[in-house]
Amino acid sequence: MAQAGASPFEDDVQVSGEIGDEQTSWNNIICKSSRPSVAFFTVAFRFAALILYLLNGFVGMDYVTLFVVTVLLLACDFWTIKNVSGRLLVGLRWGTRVTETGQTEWYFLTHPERAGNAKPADSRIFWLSLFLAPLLWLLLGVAALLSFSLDWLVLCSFALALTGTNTYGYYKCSAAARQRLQQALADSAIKAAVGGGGGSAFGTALISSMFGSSGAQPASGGAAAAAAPAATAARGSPAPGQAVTSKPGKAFEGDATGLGDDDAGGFVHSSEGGDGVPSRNPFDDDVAV
Amino acid sequence: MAATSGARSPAAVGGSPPQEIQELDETVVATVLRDLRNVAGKLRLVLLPTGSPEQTLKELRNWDLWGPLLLCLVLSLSLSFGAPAGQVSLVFSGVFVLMWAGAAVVTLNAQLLGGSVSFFQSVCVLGYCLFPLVIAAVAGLLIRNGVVRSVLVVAGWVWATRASVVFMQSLLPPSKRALAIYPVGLFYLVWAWMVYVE
Repeated sequence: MAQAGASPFEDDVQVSGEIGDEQTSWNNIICKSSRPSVAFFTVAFRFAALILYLLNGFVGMDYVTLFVVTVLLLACDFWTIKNVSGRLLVGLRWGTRVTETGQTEWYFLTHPERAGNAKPADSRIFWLSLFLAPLLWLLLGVAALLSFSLDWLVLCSFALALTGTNTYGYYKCSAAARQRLQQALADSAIKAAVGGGGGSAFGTALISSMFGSSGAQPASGGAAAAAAPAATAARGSPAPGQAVTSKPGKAFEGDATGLGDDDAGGFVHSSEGGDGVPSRNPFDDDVAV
Repeated sequence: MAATSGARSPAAVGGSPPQEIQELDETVVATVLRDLRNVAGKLRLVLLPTGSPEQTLKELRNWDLWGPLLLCLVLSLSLSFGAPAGQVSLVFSGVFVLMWAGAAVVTLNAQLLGGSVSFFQSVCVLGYCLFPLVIAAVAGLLIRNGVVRSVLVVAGWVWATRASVVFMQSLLPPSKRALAIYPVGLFYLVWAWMVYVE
């Protein structure tokens, strides 16, 4: 921990600087996270798999061993991010279940306390690794395709499937969470406006800051490229999940009573019907959640 | 990581079952054990279908893909052990692709015949029902006697097909059942042949 006096558990620590800043390295960020071990494992498995794949020349494993080790690492990563990281770092969780009619539906849960109040370090680690890894596997897959090595293409597409599913699930989950939040703010803004005073201004300011904020985010062009086809005009920020948690984090704490009164922070439970056949555009924001 | 739910009691919107509410606050160990129990339960069901067919179907409907992944890895490894030196990687990745693509094709076939089957459920069932053939493959690594191996392989094929037919049957009207079951039998026949030839 390079920054003296900055306790990782202090709530007032502002994470200054961006990822590219020489002051801020992955170590510092992980230490600033509220749960360093969870943050570490979030990053460790997926980047271990990537690094193993890329540096195979130096490590010198044969194909089968490399494949098995990579698949196991990716499976651990998938499980960790789905079941542990999302819950504990940003308070989101997605899953699938089977309805009575036999259809598979996706459900999205939001933790009442953690969802709106994730620490900037936590959400940065989480969303960056969530978007970077599938993008890198996609590039590696294209490289494998272009060099006609079908063996590696199989591995890359498998990796892309696993990491991409997690990204898709959490993206949908954060979209659902944001929609609910917007609803709650609109409700409380209306209440405040009816009650009189500057409440509505505060409410609309919150909503606009949610979608307009890009200052605290690193200029990750890669993430923007991946999310750009997904983002509609309303969602201008490159990493949508961060918009919820980065800037207005403090503001939500201040407004907690407003949210609490509406009980809008209660368990969000939204789902979308139909089974997960990939023919549906996964980034179709108009799906009713 | 104690299970805390905060000052507000979580109110479920839309009547979600309580299991999911617990999911957000359970410990990591509880999650691991839950998933392990799911996988083990399904594997046991494939081997020894106890209880009524409805119960079996209900259990199999809660699909997860961890079991098929594990079985796929074990099968790929055991088949690639027996492969000639230059073809190990081909056999390994071939088995992987064949498993997932084959399951997808059989599922698509059932869907196109008009069955109301969820894609992932079907892939899950087909993957789990490969378990007897995986046992046969692993046993085949140790047993070299030709007769014993062919008996094992045939038994594995019959068992796998029977287990998955229970599921496939429930999806389609009787007139089309044979059309859906035939590819399943063929799918497992291909696997049985690969295991035997190893």
